[in-house]
Amino acid sequence: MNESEKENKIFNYEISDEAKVLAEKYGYSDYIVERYIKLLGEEVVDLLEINDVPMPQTIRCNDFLISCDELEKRLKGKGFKIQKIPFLPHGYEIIESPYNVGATHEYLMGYYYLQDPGSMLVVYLMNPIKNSFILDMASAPGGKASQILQLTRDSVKLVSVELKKERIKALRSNLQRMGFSSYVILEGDARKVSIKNPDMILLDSPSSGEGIIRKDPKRKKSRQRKDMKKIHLLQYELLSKAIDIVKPNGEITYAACTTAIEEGEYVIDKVLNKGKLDVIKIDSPIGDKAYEEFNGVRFDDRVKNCIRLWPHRHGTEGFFICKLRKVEN
Amino acid sequence: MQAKKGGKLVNLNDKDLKALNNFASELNLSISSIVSNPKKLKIEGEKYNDVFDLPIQLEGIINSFESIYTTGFYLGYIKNSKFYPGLTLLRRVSRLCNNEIDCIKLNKKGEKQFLYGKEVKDNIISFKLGLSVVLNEIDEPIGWGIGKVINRKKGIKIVEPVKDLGWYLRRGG
Repeated sequence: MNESEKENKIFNYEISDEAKVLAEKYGYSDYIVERYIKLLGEEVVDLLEINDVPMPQTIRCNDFLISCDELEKRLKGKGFKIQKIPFLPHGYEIIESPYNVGATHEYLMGYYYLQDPGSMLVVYLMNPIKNSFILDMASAPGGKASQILQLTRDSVKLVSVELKKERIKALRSNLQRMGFSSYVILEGDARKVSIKNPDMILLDSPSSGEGIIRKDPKRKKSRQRKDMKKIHLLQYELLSKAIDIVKPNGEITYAACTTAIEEGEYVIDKVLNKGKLDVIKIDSPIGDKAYEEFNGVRFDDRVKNCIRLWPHRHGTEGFFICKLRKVEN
Repeated sequence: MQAKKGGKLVNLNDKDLKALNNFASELNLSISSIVSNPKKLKIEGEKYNDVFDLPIQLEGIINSFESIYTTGFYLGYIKNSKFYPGLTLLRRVSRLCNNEIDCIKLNKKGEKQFLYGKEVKDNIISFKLGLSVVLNEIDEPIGWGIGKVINRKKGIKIVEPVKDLGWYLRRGG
């Protein structure tokens, strides 16, 4: 199958009557539901149902400034009911809150960050190495950037790039509030940034946001079908840039908050075609293997080493996560 | 106040260092207890400069960028030869309270007033005249304030907020 046939099958699949009915019932664009059916079969209703249940609030304790036991004690003392998330070393779910969890003294002191579980998991899987040189290509609002600095005890050289003016202030404010200093924030398009040989790159790519429908139900319909190609192309270009600049043997963690094949498996399949890359098998406490095939298109075998998170299976946002290594020479 | 656009990181000049020194003296500190590698962000057309303590490991890469948005440990900004401390510096200086420097301490009611950006009068546990770190009952820094005596005869003291942690919320993150 040539590239244009592949692309046609990925982006222009037919919409079944079943998808149209479910899309109408649950308020989605029909192409999203058709894709869910192709990926999940009968499970599709489980996903549509859970997507109508709001995500619980979750926080990441910032043990760079406070011990997690102490934070737990303080929040409980203020009437918050919180519960440790077993697969996230610093993650807690807010079960009950007497007031806004973003308005406590502890929040203002930088003792925690409001972050969804899938988003937290991405950085644990990335496993940033102390004292290394790291590029974060789409950084705002700074959840993952601050987690990188936290896990490495503010020892890395982190370059955080953000294109959107309205989001860059929040990135700065969050990194400062949480007590970190070993970073540089650049405003601009990461595809044009001039950086050489970072040891590690995180690309938490701009996406359709289909993975956070539980938080933002507008995402059920906010993207037109034709937008998916543009988003895919942007992701492909950003990832290609990351591959070009990462040092030989360096690692790239690609993540997208989505359930779409177009933004996950198909992006990785395309970059693997370029050669000079390998997929690192992810050892994750939760998640499913990525898809090997979609609508008759078979992906590179190595794509299955990437992972997917599903709201109805894992209780997280929908996420696609993949780790790549640039092959030397 | 922090920059809205990118600039170039440069060394502080004598005037800037004097401004930083004056601030440190107000707190009875030496400049070296506040900052080890001070730099300022120079932005075309701006009347103030953000000031940072730049970690040594970033020195090399900083120079490779034509323009940066921000970096390092934010200390505050300099405008018209005066240094205005930021909230992040609070954490660094507050570690010296009760040992090397005197700081203002408020009770719970005073803390609440202060965090709403209001002047505090009757809820002061310990007082210092002039610019100071303001602590809550459990010695956590909650902002920068100025201690003033408004009636010497009656011994009435107040704490005027300069910048408090509630600012993060009021400005919307």
